[in-house]
Amino acid sequence: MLVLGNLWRPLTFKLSRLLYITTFCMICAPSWAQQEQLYLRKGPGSSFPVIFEVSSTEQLQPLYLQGEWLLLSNGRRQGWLPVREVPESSGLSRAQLWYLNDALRPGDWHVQGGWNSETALQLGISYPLDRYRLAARYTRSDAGEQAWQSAELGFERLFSRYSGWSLQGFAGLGLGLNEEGSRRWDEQGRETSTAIFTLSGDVIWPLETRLDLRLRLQASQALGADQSAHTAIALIWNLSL
Amino acid sequence: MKYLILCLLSLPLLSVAETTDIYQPRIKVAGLEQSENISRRYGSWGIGVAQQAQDNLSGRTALNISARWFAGEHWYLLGTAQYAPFNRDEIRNGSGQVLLESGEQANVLAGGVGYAFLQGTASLNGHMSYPWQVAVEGLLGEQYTGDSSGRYSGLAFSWQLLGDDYWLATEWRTYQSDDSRLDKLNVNKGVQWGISFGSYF
Repeated sequence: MLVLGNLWRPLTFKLSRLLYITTFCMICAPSWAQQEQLYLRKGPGSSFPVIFEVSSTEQLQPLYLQGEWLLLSNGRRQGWLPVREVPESSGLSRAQLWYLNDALRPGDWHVQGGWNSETALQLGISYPLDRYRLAARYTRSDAGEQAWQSAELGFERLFSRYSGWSLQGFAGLGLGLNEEGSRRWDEQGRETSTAIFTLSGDVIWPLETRLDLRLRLQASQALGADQSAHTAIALIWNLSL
Repeated sequence: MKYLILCLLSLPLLSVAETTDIYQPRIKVAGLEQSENISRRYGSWGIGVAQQAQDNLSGRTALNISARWFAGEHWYLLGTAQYAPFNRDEIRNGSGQVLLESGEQANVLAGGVGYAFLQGTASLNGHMSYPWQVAVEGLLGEQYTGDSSGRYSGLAFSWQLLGDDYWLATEWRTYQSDDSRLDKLNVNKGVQWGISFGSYF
């Protein structure tokens, strides 16, 4: 009995400690599981270094939104965090979280600009209409005496979307203006104008959420003047507003 | 009788009391309250000064303004206008014809894109640090020189120190213009380096 009595005391002590620890873990574990560390960076980009970390439940004050990054302050320090990583428990109101997510969404309007192999500047704007986009394009070349310009209105349609890139087509009608000295639509270099029909295909690489780069292959046929056809390759930057 | 009169007199009051019971929802407007407002930055603007070294002409100082619109983490759209004297003395050909008048100006309007390919942090005193980035910029536009003009193209490298409210940048740029008048005189290319300062919008 004496031996058993000596063993019983440390055993009950260990069991009670185990019980305390288990109870403590059961109470605290859910709150620990909800907590995550947020890594705030020095600048608005994933290449900037992490400067400090806070718990996702810490109350943070939003200061600036730039692109997809939000500058946050905990009262002592401030750092940048991607909007997608801002937790609901960070002290931001529901309206603020809604505003931030809405700000990330690319707009409907697209504006684009670039240069083509005919040394012409290309500008464009488009707006979605059901499955198509209504697009207006303007092209101008003023290299030396070879000045000409064209304006077109047509429809764009996305044909295929792959993991990293997509294909889009365009068909449009427009007006071409051959300025004096240019032989684009007149062999004699006289000032003239003509209706034109244009087809083009874009290979699209997304660069950022709102910006993509397009390689455009295009062909245009003059319906009047000398009825000449022209082909070109263009590099276009497209921005979602 | 007097109770009946009292009841009749109090009837309008009862009807008024009823109207207050009508459910009148508060109109809610989507958006943030004034106290919840989050400032948004779309881009930056700035002014700068640059030293140009033009082929076959003496060096000169240019003033420029620029604006950048942030398209994402690394890419931005860029617009710039630059004002610079072009030459001091007039240039004539062998037959005495004036090819370049004295005191012509070279003004540039250009747009393009920039890509920040290096980003980091710099500290001047060990206590305060600032984010910085190095970007490569491509520019296309028009250079107006005297009475002629030509397409302007440039390639620049820019080191930008990004403060909370202000930014500071140094830039090195090589450029050329396809203005045929300048091309014939071989004064259509050059390099420039400069410093810019600005804020955000």
